[in-house]
Amino acid sequence: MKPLAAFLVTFVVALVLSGVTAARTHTFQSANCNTAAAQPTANLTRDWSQTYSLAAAREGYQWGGGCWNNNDIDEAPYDPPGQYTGGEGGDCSGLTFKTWQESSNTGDSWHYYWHRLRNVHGPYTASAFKSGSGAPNGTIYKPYAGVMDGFASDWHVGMIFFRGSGGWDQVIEAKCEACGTDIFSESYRSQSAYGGVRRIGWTG
Amino acid sequence: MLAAVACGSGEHAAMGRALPGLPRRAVIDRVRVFRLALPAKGSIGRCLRLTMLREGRVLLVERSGVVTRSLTIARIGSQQVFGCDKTGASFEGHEWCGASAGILRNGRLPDPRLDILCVDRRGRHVAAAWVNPLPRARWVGVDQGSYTELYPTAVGLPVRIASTRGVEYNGARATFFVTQYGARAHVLSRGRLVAQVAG
Repeated sequence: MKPLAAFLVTFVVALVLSGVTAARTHTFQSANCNTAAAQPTANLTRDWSQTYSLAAAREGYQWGGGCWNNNDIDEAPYDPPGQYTGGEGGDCSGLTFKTWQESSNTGDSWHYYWHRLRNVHGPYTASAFKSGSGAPNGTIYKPYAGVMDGFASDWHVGMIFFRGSGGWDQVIEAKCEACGTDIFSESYRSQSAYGGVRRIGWTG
Repeated sequence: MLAAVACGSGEHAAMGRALPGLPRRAVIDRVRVFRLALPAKGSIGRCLRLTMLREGRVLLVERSGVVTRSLTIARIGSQQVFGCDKTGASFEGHEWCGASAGILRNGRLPDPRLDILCVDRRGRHVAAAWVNPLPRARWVGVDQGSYTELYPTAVGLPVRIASTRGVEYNGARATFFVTQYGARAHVLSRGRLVAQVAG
């Protein structure tokens, strides 16, 4: 009986410890996201990109992230700001990269569909978008910036969902861990720190 | 007594002095610190045009290393830090292939501000990031495989490092093996820095 009791105790302890380990390593990203290849698409339209970006709204924010579902719940709230912890949501540049259907190859300007659960951020920071880095990206004179063009600073990038007036726009953006991803009223158009940015190659 | 050896051209890396405690094959980068009134011209001006800095005075740390030449720029009286990287291979016709920005919190950057847009002359992806130096750190060493690149710390600002090793380009991530050394070349810390393109 004694060896059996020792075995059972050891077994239960191992079971508990494996559960603890699993709970520590289980993240939204590891449980839900995939690494599927991007699919080349013939079209890149502004209204399609609006719809695509809207799925990311109310799904949370993840620094360095690029994976979300579409249930309007942040499954990984209260992530530490400025750290990648595998939570749900994109960050500002990750959301822009996926919405603009870009390639990871900076020399490739073609359009690629990334499923929302495909965990990809892309090689660009907000600062890189601001300077129009990469073949798919360019800059635009801010008064000409329209739907699904964007505004970028050294720290942040967002896309115009509805054009407003008086220097204000409705901007879809992954804003911060506390504020999440959503459509916000922003005055980026009138702020000198922000430049106009655009996806090159819209087909409609 | 171990000697640091030069690797690469003298233009990029200075021959190290005899430094007991430092890795056997080490390259010590050249660093230059100066203050500058904006606007600036030339190469520095082209870097600054990639940032929001247009006027005022800045503190500038210029590093010439084996993998990259970099600028770390701090606006005097501000917590904002900017950086530019170049490898000698231009990116879309631009001399500076990478530009980064960060905000210091209590003198430290909470995120390394990884940039992976640069490639070297052999077409390899180059990852560049900032490391917060420990208070008594004199050098930040980066494992480059066959040698260790030593970046001297300067004026307490984050140290811009770069490597072609550990770059996961498609994952927008890079892993650096970093060792910080004190003035007597003793190890203050050693570890992995995993950085993610973000923000």
